[in-house]
Amino acid sequence: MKKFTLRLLLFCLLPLPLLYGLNYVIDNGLRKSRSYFYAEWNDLFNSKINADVIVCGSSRAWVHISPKILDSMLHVNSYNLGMDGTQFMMEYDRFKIYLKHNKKPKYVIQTLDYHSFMEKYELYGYQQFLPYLNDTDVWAMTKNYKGKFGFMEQNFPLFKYNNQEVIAKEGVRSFFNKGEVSKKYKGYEGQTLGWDYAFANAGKAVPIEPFVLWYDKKSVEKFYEFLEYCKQQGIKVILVFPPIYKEFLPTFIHKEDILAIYNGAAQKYNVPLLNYLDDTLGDNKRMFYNSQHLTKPGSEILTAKVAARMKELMGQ
Amino acid sequence: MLFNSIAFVIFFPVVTLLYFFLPFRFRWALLLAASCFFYMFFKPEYILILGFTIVIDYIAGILLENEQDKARKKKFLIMSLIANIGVLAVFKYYNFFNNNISVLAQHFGFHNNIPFLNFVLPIGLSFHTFQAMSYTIEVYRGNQKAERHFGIYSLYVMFYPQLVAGPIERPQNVLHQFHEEKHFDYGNAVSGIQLMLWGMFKKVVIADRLAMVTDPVFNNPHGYNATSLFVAAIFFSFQIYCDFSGYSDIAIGCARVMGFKLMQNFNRPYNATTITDFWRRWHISLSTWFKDYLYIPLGGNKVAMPRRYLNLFIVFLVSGFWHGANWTYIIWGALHGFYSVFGTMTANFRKGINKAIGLSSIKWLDNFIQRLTTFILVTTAWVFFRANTASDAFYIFRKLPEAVTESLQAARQHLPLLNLGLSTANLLLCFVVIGILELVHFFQNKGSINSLMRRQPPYLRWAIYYACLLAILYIGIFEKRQFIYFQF
Repeated sequence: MKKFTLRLLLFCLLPLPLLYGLNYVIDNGLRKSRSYFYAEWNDLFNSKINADVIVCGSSRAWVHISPKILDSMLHVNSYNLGMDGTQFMMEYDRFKIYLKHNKKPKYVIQTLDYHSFMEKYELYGYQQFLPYLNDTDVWAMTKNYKGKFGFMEQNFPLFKYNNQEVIAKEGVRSFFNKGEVSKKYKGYEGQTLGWDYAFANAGKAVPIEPFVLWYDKKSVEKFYEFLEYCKQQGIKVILVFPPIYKEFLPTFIHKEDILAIYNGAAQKYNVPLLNYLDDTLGDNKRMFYNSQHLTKPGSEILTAKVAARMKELMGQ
Repeated sequence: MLFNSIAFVIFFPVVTLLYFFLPFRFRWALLLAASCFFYMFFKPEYILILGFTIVIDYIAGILLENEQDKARKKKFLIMSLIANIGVLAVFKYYNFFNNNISVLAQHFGFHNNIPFLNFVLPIGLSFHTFQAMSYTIEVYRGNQKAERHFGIYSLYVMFYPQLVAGPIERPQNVLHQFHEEKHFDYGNAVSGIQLMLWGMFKKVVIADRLAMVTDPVFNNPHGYNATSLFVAAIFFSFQIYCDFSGYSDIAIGCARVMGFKLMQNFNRPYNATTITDFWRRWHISLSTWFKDYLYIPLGGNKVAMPRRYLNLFIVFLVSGFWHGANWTYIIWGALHGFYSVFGTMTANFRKGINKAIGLSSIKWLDNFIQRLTTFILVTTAWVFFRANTASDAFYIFRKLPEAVTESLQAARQHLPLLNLGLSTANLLLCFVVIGILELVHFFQNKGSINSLMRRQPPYLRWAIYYACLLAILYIGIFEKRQFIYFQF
């Protein structure tokens, strides 16, 4: 038994230096990477953002608010922290991590969606957290989501990169400074895609089916907590509801309930709510690539409109 | 507890080490406690059902041995069988029958007021019930002495490696092993771990990867083209084999590390040349159970031909029903029954034709055609087994012929042939892992893999182990998928 145990131990220990070494290369490579979603996380953790204006929200922040326009119109340093496929809780968690590593912003533009509080506790785009799983805040942030990360992902070398060959390859390349170049500008990525019904209707063509909205109470509480926290910290919040292509507006059921939450919160904390649901942008299909997302030209018009309103609010 | 879980990676070495360090007299208690823990990991309260059948069969065994009067003996056996089948009937088949009564009643304009039961099927119920039944039958037949040690008898039913998905053991093979003091054996430990590694590879690298294709397709066959349905049907044949035989390999392997010998459950079933041959290679512990306890008591081969065919058909029908309370399993069983009866009826005729056209003389071609035919027949039946409803299965068969026109159209217009929603690399990987499986089968055909491995230099052996382990860890699918046969 002694011989067997020793051999088994040797068998298990022998590849560990190589696995840990490769894990180190990939982790550190991705922490330098400018591709996919890593550029923003890396800027955030390396305290490189320190912006005056931070844009928080889902993909409707990420592809809608251009820091280039905000910077030029408002003469500030802005940065877009929008995350694809998220609801409010994740966006708030990222904002809190941001504050830990960067100076607090003067303004936060929080974009709003009808589905902001529809928490499904599913970790969309979990790959973005892989190089930072040992960070206690990231670990705490992700552990509330359905069983994506566990003991093995956190502790066993490379296991978290299981079936992630593209990302692992990018990690190795970036480690040797040969990674992909970012397509984003300060977190923003304007889209030049053509119209696609797929997003609105989960792969089905027309007719459009109704979308029943609901909200998670915990998520709404977090939203209030966010507004309270910003108030205490002297961070001015501007709530922005970007347009939705008008053809789709009637398909949302219970949308008044969600808007009531936003209006109530804005009133309670005395924060401006810039609602673009009735904006003329929403009439123009050419400005959208799907029901929820504007194309690059559309997003530039929206950002200019937001910046103009902010200018007034900032008293410039 | 799932074999493909981190919990088992800790559980197995801890139990095995404790097993060898404990004095022999305490080992049964350790294994029993470990087995209870293993089972209760799924749904703790269901251990009470197991406890119920264990107590009944333990007492039945002693009564059967003590009783001299044949009629009373038979009564005891029947009581024990009723208790076991009763548990199965309540938990597995009650709602199925009730549902069918409802359908029938509705058809005749009545309303069925019998309430439905609302509980989840206890995991592996059919396996441990059959294992328990084989004990009382063998004691009744006088082939096995009644086990007087309640703990050891409980362990016979509950031994954790084979508790939830077999192999369905016989008391003659296993019970005496719990009374024997096992010493650590280097060869057993190595070959056991080898087998576990291969079983894990089959489960997480092959079966669960193929499930990424088959699950969406079988859950919504109307959303896919005919070629995709065809590929999914083929993939499911490999998926179910790798899933179930993977479980059996891990079970046999971990028992072997502790010095226990469990029966072989699979022997390269897709190498079978006939359906009868397939059933000699597939889920061997179940097919021999049915042979010993149903086919032979029905008269087996020693009856007139028509009765023999009927017996064969009954066995396969019951086997289908054993798998699940759903018409899809019953059709699957009936189809295998039909294959077997038709195959037996036409065996000589087919042999004659092969001889007449000269196919018998080209051995490799004859073998190839027979294997391919058997594989197609088995795959056809698997479609019923996997489909959510019988009408889904019939839809798939109606749609399949369109694959020819689809292929031609795709070739002409340079369109993608499959709409599986999988990247080319992922799809290719599915074929590669099936290729690896067949490569291993090729070597198994030449002799035992274990002895083949022993003949290799250590660096090559270790390289193979590492390759297998790394594939499991880095290209395996870890989505907490249960083994398919757990549901039975």
